[in-house]
Amino acid sequence: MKYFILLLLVPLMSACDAGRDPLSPSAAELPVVVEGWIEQDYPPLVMVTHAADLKDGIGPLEEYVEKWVRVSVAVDGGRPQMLTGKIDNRYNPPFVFSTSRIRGRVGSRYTLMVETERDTIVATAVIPPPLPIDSLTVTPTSVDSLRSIILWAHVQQSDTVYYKIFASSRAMGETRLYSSFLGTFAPADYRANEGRTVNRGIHGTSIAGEPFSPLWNVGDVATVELATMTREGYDFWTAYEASVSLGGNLFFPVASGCPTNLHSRHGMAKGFWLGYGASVRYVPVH
Amino acid sequence: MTTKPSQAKTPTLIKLCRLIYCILRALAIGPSLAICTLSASAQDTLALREVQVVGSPLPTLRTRVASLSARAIDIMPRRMGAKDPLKLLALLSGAATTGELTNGMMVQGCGASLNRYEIDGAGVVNPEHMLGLYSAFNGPHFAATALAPNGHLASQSNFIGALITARTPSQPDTAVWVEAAAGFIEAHASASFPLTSRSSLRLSARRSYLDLLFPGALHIDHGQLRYNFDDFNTTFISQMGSVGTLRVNGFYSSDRLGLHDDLYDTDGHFAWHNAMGAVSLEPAKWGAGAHSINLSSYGATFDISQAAIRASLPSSLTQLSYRGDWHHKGWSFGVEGLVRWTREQYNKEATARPPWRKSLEASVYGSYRLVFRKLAAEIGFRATSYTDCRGYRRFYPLPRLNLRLPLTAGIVAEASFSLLVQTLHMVKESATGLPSDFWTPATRLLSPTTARSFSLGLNAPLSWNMSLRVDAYYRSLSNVTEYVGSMFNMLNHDYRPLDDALSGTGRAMGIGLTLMHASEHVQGWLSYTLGRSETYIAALAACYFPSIHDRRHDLKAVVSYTPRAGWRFGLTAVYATGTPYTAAKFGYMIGENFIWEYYPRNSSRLPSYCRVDIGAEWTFYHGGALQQRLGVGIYNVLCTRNILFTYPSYTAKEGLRQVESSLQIPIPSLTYTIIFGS
Repeated sequence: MKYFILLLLVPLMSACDAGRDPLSPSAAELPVVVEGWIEQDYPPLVMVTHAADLKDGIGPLEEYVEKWVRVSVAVDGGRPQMLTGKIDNRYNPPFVFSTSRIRGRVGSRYTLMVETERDTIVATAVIPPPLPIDSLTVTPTSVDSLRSIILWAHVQQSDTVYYKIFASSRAMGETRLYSSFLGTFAPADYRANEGRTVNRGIHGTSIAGEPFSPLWNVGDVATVELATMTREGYDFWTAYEASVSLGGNLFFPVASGCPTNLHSRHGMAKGFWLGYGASVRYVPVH
Repeated sequence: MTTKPSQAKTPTLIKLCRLIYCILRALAIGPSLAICTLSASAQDTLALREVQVVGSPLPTLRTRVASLSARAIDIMPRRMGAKDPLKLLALLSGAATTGELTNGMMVQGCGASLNRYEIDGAGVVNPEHMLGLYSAFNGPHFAATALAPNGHLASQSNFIGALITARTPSQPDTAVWVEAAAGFIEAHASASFPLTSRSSLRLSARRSYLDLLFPGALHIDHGQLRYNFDDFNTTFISQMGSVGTLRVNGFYSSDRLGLHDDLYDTDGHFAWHNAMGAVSLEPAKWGAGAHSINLSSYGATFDISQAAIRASLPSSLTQLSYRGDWHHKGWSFGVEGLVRWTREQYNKEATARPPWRKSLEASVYGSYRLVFRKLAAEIGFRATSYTDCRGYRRFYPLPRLNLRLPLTAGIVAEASFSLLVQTLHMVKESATGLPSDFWTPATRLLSPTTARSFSLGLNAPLSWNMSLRVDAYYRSLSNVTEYVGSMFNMLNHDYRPLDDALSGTGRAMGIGLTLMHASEHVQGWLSYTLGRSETYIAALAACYFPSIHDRRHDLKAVVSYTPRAGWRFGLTAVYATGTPYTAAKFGYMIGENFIWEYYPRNSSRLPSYCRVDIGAEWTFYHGGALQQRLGVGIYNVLCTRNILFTYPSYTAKEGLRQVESSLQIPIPSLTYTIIFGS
């Protein structure tokens, strides 16, 4: 009889374990994050942070900045040039690494190296030729006070060049360009008779309280950048948009992270180092 | 000195079986009941005008089929005012509790796409309405609805999961009968008309009008949803003398969900439609051939636009099948042929329409029923050949074994073993069941799903008008499909959803208990399932991970109480441990958004699900053949906050939050019903 009772209890006890959540990662498991890019005619810009353990909550963003790291960029296999850390209030967190000694050139190869206490991260980026924006047209929507912006360009079919739209809103006080919602596309996704929608960029540091709309308010001035990039960039930004927009979607949830083109000794780096061929235009929204 | 010879020890397992047998025998006092069938109350009487009995000379094998008669569905609590047989069957053991917004029935660890739904033996694809509120089976149209979670017979069409059958009356109706009901969300009507002395026509219709009565009731974030559905059934029955019974069935259902979001300049139109037509001839004599022809069609549309970005994603499936069955003494044998045309989902805005993909499935089966002393056995063999239009061919030998052994005092033990195959995959792009999901036939890249199924069961009548059913099952599956792409892939020119459909293996095991009670005033059941369902896909994890519908503990109670004629009260209570989800492990900032990295797939659990529904029905007029009733009900009367989905969110103002999507409000229903005849 005692064995019978034990037999009954075994599946119940094993079933009770099913509800236990996994342990949170240790500090050593939290990766270093690099967000870096270089555009033609502009210096490289690199931000280095580390990831946040969700169980501890997320404090001030400055706590996650990695200031005491060595960041360097080598051009076309040449001698690495050190990047200097400085405060730049256009970005959040406002600490960036850059140098005035390097300017982006189309076709050049830029090798980034980030050396931290725990790891060394290396990545390579090439700047593709930029594609000029032909025009930006403002179109009405079903809401009187909101407008849609359509971008027009002569997109050529290619297997090596992809496109990313960045945008910022002057009325919202946005000081940097943000990833435009649904703004990543392959050449074959562009329809010459329809153009491509320029949506505002979603960002967690946007003005508190407002419900986000990807549309533009009448009276605003939009800064729009059309960036060309390699397949690595396309893969990253595609996964990024899905993660940001669908991570909280009840019907089509996405529970996967973003790929990276960063190589690290411990395989713990996240983020990207990309080259952009950029074309920028401004359009008043009326 | 002599010593007694040592006695061989009785094995522990045999002692265990003897113990269980003794307990059940001790409890077997009182009248035995029809197992798992809720009978009419003692005060009902039936006037028989013509009786024809056609039966097999052999005992019925599958008493583990849970069957609900029309009378039982009428007695049991309604769901949001509707008599929904599938939602009622889902309250039995073995069927997993599904949260709100999720449609489909997950039975004994298998996904909803692995089930087979039939109306009088004719297959129906996905008879569910969106958002998980109702199934597409209109309860009053059917004489009985049954759930068979395992114990596949050789004669049954190829499927892996459970068989859910809805049956119209076996004989033509001989009197006019009409039932109509209207509530807050939907109205339905059923009517039956005898056409001749040997034929009748039964018609049913249902339509929702939520938008009409409560515009703006449904919304998601800042988007407005508009949702409507309808379904129609028609059944013609004619007794053709010595030839047999001719039965013609028709079924159609459609769902339409519209989305408009001013803030995102987004419009969406999502719809599916489902149709079935079948003709069958059931022989008057046991042994003569039964024939049926079945045509079914399922189509889905998923159109969405955001400013100049557009995607239009249709998909469709059409199936034509013939089936013939013959019997001779203990032998049964038959053939089944199926032609299937599928057009997989594609983006109309980006690519040309692909051609129809045709596939063929042909089966022959033979089985023999024998009785040896008290043991009844059906030994069957089914052979299936499958081929698609691109030359992919497979052959599947599928043995089937079903055993039934009556013990004493009405206790029956059963066991079954089956090899199973299903040549149609559901690519499930959504989490809840939306028209973005589509059917695709098995191909060289996505082989048919196969399974080995074992089950043991025990049915026992108990005292105090109760009966007990115990079901233990184990299934191992191969080539189960899981979609890992993102919704935004639909917008790409090179959208090929099958590229993101991965194959793997699965296994499910568990034990279910159902305790039923049926007496003059109280009917209902208590069911409990302890189960585990896991999947292994090498690209996703190094080992088995919980399937998305895995629920470890699932406890359900359904009670109907009739204190006196004209009054009825109902209660449904559900408690189930949470389903798996993939929780975020850490986050990092890119572009001033937090990107999350996740724990292993499905390694976390949502909180437990708990819900209580109550209802009451008052027959305020009953004169002659006419009845009028008023019913009230409250879904989720305790306002339990059931978490459907959870995810982390970061904003500068609110910091890090764990956002939870949940249903917390109670949903009232008020239903007026009129019945003429019965």
